[in-house]
Amino acid sequence: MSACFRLGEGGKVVALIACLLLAACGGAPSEDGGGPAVADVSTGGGSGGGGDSGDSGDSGDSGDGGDTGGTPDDPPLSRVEQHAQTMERMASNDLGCANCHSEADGNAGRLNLETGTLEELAARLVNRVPASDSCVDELLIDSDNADQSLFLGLVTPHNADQRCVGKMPLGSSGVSDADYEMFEVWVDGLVATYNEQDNGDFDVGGGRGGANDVVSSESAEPADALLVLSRVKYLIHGAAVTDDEYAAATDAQGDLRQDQFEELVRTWLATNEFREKRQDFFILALQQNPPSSNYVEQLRNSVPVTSRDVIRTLEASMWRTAERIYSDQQDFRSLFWTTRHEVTTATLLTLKMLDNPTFRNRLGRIDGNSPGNSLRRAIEGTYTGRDDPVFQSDISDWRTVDLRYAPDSTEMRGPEGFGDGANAATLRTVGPEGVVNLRAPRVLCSTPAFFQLWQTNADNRFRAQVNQCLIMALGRSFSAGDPTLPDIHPLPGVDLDQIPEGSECMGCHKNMDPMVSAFEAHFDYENHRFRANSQEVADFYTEQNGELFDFDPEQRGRPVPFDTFPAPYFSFEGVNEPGSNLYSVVRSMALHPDFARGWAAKVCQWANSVECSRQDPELIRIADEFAASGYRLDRLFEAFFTSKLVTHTYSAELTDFPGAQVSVARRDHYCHAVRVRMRESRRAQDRTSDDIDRDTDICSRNRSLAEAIPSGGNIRGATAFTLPTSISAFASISVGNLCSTDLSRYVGGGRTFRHQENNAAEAVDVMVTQLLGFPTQTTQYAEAYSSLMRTYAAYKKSAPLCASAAELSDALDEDDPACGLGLSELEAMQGVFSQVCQSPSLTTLGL
Amino acid sequence: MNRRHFLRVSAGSALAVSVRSLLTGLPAAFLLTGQTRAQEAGRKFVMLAQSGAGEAVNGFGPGSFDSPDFSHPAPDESDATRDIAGRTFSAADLSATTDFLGGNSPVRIARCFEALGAMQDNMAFFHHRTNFGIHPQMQSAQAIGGAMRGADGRGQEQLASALAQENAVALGSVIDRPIVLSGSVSFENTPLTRYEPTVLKELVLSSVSTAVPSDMFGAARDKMLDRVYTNVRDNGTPNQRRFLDDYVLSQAQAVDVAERLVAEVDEIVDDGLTSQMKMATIIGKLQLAPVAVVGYRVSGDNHVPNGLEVETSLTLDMMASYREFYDFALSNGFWDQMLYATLSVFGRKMNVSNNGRGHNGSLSTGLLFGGQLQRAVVGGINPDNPRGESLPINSTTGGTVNPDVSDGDSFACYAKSVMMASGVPQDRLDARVPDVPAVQLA
Repeated sequence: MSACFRLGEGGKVVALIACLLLAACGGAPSEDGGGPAVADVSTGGGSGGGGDSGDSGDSGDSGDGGDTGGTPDDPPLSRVEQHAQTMERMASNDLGCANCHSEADGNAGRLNLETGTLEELAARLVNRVPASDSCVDELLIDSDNADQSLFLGLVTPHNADQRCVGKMPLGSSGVSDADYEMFEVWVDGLVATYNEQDNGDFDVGGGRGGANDVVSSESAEPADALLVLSRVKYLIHGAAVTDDEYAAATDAQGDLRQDQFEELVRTWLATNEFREKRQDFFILALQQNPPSSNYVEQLRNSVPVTSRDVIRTLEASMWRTAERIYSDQQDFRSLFWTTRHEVTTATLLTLKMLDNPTFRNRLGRIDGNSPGNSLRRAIEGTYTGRDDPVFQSDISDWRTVDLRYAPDSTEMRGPEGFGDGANAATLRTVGPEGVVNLRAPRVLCSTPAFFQLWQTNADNRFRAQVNQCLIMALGRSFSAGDPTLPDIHPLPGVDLDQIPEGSECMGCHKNMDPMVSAFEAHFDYENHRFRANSQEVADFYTEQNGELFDFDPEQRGRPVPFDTFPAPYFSFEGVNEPGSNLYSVVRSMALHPDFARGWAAKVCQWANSVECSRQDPELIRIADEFAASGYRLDRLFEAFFTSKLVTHTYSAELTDFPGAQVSVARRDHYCHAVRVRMRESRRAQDRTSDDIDRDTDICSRNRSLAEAIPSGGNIRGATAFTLPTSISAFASISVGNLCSTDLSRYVGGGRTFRHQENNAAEAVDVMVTQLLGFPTQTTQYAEAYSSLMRTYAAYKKSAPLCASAAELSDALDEDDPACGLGLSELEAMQGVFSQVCQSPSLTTLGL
Repeated sequence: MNRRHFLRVSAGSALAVSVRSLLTGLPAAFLLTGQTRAQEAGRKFVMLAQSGAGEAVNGFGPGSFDSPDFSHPAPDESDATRDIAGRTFSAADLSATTDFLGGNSPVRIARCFEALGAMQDNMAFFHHRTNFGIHPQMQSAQAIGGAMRGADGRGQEQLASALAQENAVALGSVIDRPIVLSGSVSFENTPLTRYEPTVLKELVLSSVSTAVPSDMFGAARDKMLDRVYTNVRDNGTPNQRRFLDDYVLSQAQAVDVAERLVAEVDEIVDDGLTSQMKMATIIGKLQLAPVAVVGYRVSGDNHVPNGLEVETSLTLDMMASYREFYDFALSNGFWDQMLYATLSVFGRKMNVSNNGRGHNGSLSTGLLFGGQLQRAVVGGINPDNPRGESLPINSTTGGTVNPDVSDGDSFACYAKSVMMASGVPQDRLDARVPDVPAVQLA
């Protein structure tokens, strides 16, 4: 295995992307210096030997830069020839720069050092900022101070100065002297070329889908006011923009009034509707949503419905804890290390089960019927069934409990008490702000749900969990280019037989492996349950197994293992922190300076459905505000939703700029919006005394159909969410059927849309304003209202009947349609509702 | 082959012509007449089986019995048995061999492949190396480590996406992108939604209660789109116009897809591997999409002490699934129209440690099926390396003598060969994967 990283570029923003354990990025410099014959000359006036440049003259001085491999009689190379020679050298296996900086990398928005003319390379490198979060203060090549450029600093063999990323080629201490001289001359040539140009933008490699350079918020333009208002309210609240809101937030020209808009955003953020939306965000961001509810490794058989009820409490525990921290306006980073979790009695019971190793028979096999191992058996022994009121209480009695790390605790050791209700009874008495001791530490990154989502094994040794936890905290992963060396020797947790000193693999493992003991000291690899933390404890469980399964552990059984592990150590992107346990490691992650930008990027992606540039000045500003607020997440949401990343767009071409994104409304967004808008429709008709939620939640009524609407998730190792954005045929079938099923529940007497004879206009008006979300002042309202009224009229017109869809289409051009479908008034209105329900205004964000 | 081309040939007649015309920039007259669903000869629907766990096909395919260092389950390693096509298979069938090619020098593979019967006549193995060692690199593996370029020869694309782009029009597919039944896939670098087989089944079988006939509903819907979204159409950003374009297209596709699928999904009973392959077969047969992505599993992420016991069980399950899928594809008359190919983030070590089979970035074995394929083994395994590594390939013969494909390029060669076997023409192959030759499999 080897590793590489890439310097990448996307317009004004340059991406530095570490590629973990990828193909070789380049070997060490050649022993003989390796550089080609290069005269230290450029026709563009760059001085020899790396001196200042900037002279754009066309007849360079040959200079006297010393012996770089050429002969005194060699004619000086032109700048173009020099460029060609340098490119060839970079592509050589010897340096191998192109292995990680290929043309393909360039086309993917990263730095291309494989192809390009002198002018293109000048545009690509000179005065360009790397996108690495740790390199924002650097220029790849600084035209005013070329010898201090990041590029030269990374390859120089003349000093060991630590820059924002590690030396290039990776694993080396720079290139040879001869190669360095070649690069110095080349850089001078690039600078000279750059200065000769008008410094206009070049296409240096596009983003996705053929898009051109990344657009910064600085070059974005204000978006349509109604679009901004509609999208933001949809995302935060779910309901339609009202006439009053639209009037307040737009000026006479129809442009957005920023101050009024900000006031509206604060109002929407304070609603219960946004509390529901936050829950969706937390579930995605906190990685507590495994695809399967059968926690077989940890809890054996957890398939039955009662088990799933308990599993749901495990998966809800941390988003509820996050919600408490949010509501209390606490430092959101504390979510990572807090011991005060939201739990139910059933949650506690399960955590206590997992606070024991698995109980195994003489052959070392797990007994699936032991209530100490099996959630199903524990539930069966504790409750009479799902209808047992005690069970229902135990899965819903949420309170804040201090899950205190107590490694020497002997509470509830062994399987006794799990199968007869005794332990549940004890835990039921733990009230709000009570304390429960746990032998294994439980934090955000060591919950049963997190371990179900990301599983480890004896080879992986919790590296997966360390990486995912880092991603959760910072939105970043380990990078071979991270120059941060742990200030501890030997490196704890690093297997030097597998990962030798100086190897490229060490680029990531030097930072990652010292953290794994924070997990492996407490949890076993196979079942992710408590690992014996002393020989005495191991002996105790060995004895337990012997008693349970009737064998003499000293003669025949397999002893419960006890292993020791070094103290963990946190080291990542400029931060070194010795650790003592899991708490200290996750605390170090959360206190890292990149936390604010990481969470600003998460909120941005969740809202805009695109991975947002962490280099965008607006995102940096938002992150700074978040940090300055004491990491209050409410402030982050407010700063983001009123920012240019939301209010601005880009109209020149297809782009990844966040505010310009158009996306399918994913399941959480769509289902929430329809539910809220149906409620608001009832309120608009003064139906406040009704059961407002009755028959308004179309997704919950048809879960299997709703399943086919795209939803977001996390992929192992990916630093951003995975969010489908396109609308597919299946999503259209799903929404179409959701909106065409059980129509009598939504339209008709006593329903949300009380259709009666002669009130069609009112029903359509409510649909347009509340469901489609067009304020009455807008042209969209007029068009939609008129169109739907014509549709209604055509649907119910009984003669003549339209013979074809084309005839109906023609008929809909007139207020009095020439033909119809002969439906009843109720059926006609239901058809109109179905159309509204699946319109782009509801199914799409950004149109 | 591009997006506009797809829109032209897949235009739905029920759509509002003015919307489509303005969004696609195509003349309205063409949209009224431009519906074609012809299938180009030689193009194959592709069922791409992906695994981010890293599968050990290399552990029991050709070459796996050529060194005493290479491990196989002992006959008594597992109690697992499977009855497949009237014969009982067990762990012994993973350690005993059968001759795959029948030449002078036997090419031994595990005897469990005999469960596939005549399916073996259309089976090929392709040894290569992905050079990846950890699971999070699956997305890179899906893009063949960056070797698979975008449609215009720039950027990079996942194999599933590239196959779809190249073959959608030629296959006359309703949808231009892969249908993902398992795992995760991006199309044009944007994540696609996964639809498990039972979700699709439920979707098309669900009943609706509207009294408005679907064609009439479509006419009314399009009329409203024309009027309400005029501003987007005329003044919207490129992103908005493109999405509205997609929205309109998806509505037409939805009707088509649902009507075709509804009569075919009876045999879908769960979301397991067999159901995935059956659903993929249905998708291909109905020309719904050019590619369907399924899972496969013969070892899983095998890091457990009883690794070969697990491997035995999973491999026998997979053989049973393959056989059922083969019979299903034959009975649907689709075996000759499709290509099955695997894509794994890495293979697994040939030797076994206390914790099962480790990751092997130096050796992975692609498994291919399809009516047009002949029995074949491409590349080889170095028997002198106990963990196993692939050998350079001769792209003309498929062997390892006088190779012209380095082991480092073998992954790109594999991907390009899969594309070639699906019928992608040479110029497009070279645009997608330049500088590396393909091996002719069909």
